[in-house]
Amino acid sequence: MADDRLSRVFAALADPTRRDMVARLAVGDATVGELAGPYDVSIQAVSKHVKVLADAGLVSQSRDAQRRPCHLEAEVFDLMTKWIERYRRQAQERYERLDAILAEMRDDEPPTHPRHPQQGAAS
Amino acid sequence: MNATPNRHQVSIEADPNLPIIRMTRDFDATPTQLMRAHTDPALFVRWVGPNGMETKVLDWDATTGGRWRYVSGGDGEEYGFHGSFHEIGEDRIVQTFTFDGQGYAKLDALAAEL
Repeated sequence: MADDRLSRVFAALADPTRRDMVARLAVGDATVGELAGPYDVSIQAVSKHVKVLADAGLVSQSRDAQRRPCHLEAEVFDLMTKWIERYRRQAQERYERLDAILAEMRDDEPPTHPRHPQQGAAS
Repeated sequence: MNATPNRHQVSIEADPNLPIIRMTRDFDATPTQLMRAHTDPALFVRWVGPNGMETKVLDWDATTGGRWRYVSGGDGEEYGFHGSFHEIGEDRIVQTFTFDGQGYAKLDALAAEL
């Protein structure tokens, strides 16, 4: 399910430490030890974060037994941007329909229209 | 991203610290006209959308403390929405929005500035 995957991706990125790790991995692959470098946390804690990112499909680890560098699967971000873009487009379309209604009102009404607060559904 | 400034483009901004989305946009209209397009149900149903959906108002009292309810349909599916108008001002609307059956409300505030 695309929705489940999207939930995991958003949840994985809802943590500032994991977002930092994603930013680091965007520069290039890194081992868990290298990722732990800037933080005052254990390798185990970093491994847990990497696991969450991996479960969401954002990070993969190669089978190189010595180093197992983490790699950012950047195409997963397309899933997020497509989802976000759909709602941006819907909002834009809604406002364009509103523009058309407002243009009609401009044509119908005299330029100085008195204000009647609390008038409710004016005819 | 399109770098060309277009004042009719909607700006959508998510607050980093609060569950709030701010949308800002210019309209060629007075605050009064903008308010009327939001409070007159006959006008509202014509723009609320989304595209391909038809909106039927079942209940509408656009006054402070009033309430609203409508259904949107298309493709044989129908979705209901309801809420209350917490405040209807000259250039300000505060209202709640609930997707029927979802059990939570979104708070919408609209402010028009000249």
